[in-house]
Amino acid sequence: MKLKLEGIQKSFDSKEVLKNITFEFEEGKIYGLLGRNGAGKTTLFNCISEDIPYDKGEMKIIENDQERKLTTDDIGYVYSTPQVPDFLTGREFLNFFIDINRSKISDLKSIDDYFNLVGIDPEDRDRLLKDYSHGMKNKMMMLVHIIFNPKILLLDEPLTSFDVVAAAQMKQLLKDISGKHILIFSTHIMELALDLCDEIVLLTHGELERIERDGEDRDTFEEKIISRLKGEDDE
Amino acid sequence: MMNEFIYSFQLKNVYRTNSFLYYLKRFPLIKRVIPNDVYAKKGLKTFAKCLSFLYEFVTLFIWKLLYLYLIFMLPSMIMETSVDPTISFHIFFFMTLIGGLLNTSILNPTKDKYYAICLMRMDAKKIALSEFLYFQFKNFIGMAIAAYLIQLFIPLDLISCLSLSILVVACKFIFGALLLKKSQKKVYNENKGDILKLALCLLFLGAAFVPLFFSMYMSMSLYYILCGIMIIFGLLAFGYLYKFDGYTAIYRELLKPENIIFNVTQVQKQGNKVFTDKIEYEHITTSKKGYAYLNYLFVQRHKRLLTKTANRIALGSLAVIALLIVGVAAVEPIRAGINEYLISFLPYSLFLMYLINRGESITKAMFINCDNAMLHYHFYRQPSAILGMFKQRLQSLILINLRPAGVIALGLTILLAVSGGSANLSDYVILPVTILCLSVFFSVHYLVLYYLLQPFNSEVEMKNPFYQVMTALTYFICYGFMQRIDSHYFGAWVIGLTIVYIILALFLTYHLAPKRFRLK
Repeated sequence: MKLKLEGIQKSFDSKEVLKNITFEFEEGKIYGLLGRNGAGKTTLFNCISEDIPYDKGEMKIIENDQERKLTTDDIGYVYSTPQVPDFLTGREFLNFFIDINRSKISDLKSIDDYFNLVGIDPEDRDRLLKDYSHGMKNKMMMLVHIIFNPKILLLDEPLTSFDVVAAAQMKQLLKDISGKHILIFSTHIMELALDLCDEIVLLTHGELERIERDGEDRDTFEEKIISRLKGEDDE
Repeated sequence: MMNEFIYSFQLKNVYRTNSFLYYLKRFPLIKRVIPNDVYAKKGLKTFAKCLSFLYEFVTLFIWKLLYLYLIFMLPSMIMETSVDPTISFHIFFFMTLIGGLLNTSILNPTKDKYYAICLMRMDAKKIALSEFLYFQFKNFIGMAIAAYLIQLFIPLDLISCLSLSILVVACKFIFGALLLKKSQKKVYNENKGDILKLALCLLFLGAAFVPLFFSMYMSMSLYYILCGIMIIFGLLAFGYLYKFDGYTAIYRELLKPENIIFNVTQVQKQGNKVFTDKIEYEHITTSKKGYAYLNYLFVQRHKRLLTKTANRIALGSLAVIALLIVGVAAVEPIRAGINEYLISFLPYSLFLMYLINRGESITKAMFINCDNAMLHYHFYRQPSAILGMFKQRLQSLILINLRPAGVIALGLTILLAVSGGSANLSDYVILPVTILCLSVFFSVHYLVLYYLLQPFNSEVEMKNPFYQVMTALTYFICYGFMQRIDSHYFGAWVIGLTIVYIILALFLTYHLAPKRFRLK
């Protein structure tokens, strides 16, 4: 399975944020999306997830050599600021989510199994979400996407709010699920991108560019990425 | 000190000019012609600067003019005869004491002071005094202009006009010094209320108005003597303010970020917290599923906002109606009066039902505590989800609002019967049915407005001015009906129109909400 973006364009007033996004993302890989502040990473995610309409271009899924339009069910989007309804408990939220999406969820597990998966302790499961920490809310948001199991998962700075143990757990979880998914991971933390991602993609000048690692060691590769990103200033 | 004053004045000016340009850029239609680099355009900046100076000048006296108008002209207009102006000076004296107590500006933690003292590291004493003196200078001039304009309409001599300006400034000096002295022990924040402040305000308010009911008020000579005393204390207070050395320590405490309102978003965030705090936890078990489950939990966790308030209004209405029934049974004039009033009551019921329906705050809670998060999920934005949730909410809202409406409808009908009844039997139907219809109408109205115009963005900023226009219009229409109209005529129309409105509104919601119910 592949996600194919062709000539995606998006402008705000006279500012062209995405000029010509053309790229193919492949199943089984974690992509690290890097870019300077304001480069348009969140805009790109918002366009892919149909949160905002894009001006031009096409987004397709290629499966068994057949092309079809990307649908909302194909996408899961984990926002940098977690969004969960404050008045529900963690368990009630999962209950409701599973209830509504039951027909679309395969391999349904028990709610406690899901909590165990992301490491939410039993004593926290029946507390109101408004009393959850930022990191726990983030886990909940990631969890509903894991339950729904979309083919493509967009993650906008998702690991920054986790403590070191939780971050390691979540990294492992993402690696585990990456086999049958396309994970696109936006981050500013180079170390995280190099540790977790199979491919590094830069968003510069409103376009996506794959950075090949030609057998370079980690430091050289890191320098190569930074110099490409800095290149934006030099021009 | 002059330098500090000029710097702080310039800082304020830049801030005001940029704010003006910022709002200009957000204004519908105008924003299209404003370039993106507006802050760098010299011409536009000069224009904004001129407008901000004009704003500063007009606000110098416009509110004071309104204030003097209320004190000096309104009493005569209400009484329809000329009132002794001495009464106005009596009121003015005590109201000035209240003004001095509430707003001296010296202990007001403004962002201007924060920027100058905390960010620009300017001298606290010099900033405090320069801002304070500038504020008093504006008070003096503004009051003088307002007094000049007022004396064009009512005869006031020069001394009495001048006394208005002097009294205001002297009062601010005295309270400024007193509060500063008090702040040495515990820093006083002008923006926060305390019991002593409230008690003093009530005392001054009482002194301003209560004696008038007994035709007692201070003479002009007493007024002038008090002004003289205030001037002497004002000068002493000025000396104290000038010599005082603890400004830095006081401002370090006063200008903590949590005391300062930096922008509208911060105010909104605090407002949002009020709604989040309304969520009450209790363990709930239910066999409901899907959107019925979500809505049920929402209602149960917002009891204080929804059911408890409705029950309280219902109980309150019951108590009032019970009292009226007792009154009707016991006192003949009350019986006749109530009977006549009830028959012509219906137009007023529109405003009453408007008042007891809190659809606006309920829909805001729906957004802040539920939809703001849920609308980030695809499944919740699907037409079936939006309409499913709408249906559940509409049922709950109607049923909750019908509790007080039912009590009022039934209670008033019984009251009509026991107070002598009506010759027209249809009154017994029109009265309760109109009230029940109005209750359903308001439940539908607010929910439909919310679903069709969803006015907030994810920061809970109001993004749809049309929503505000519609809610304001609702108020004015309801208020406008507070007059004696033939009740039968009104009742029949209300029942007909609300039914048509409800059908139309539901039709529109089912067709448009799936597209329009989005985060802005």
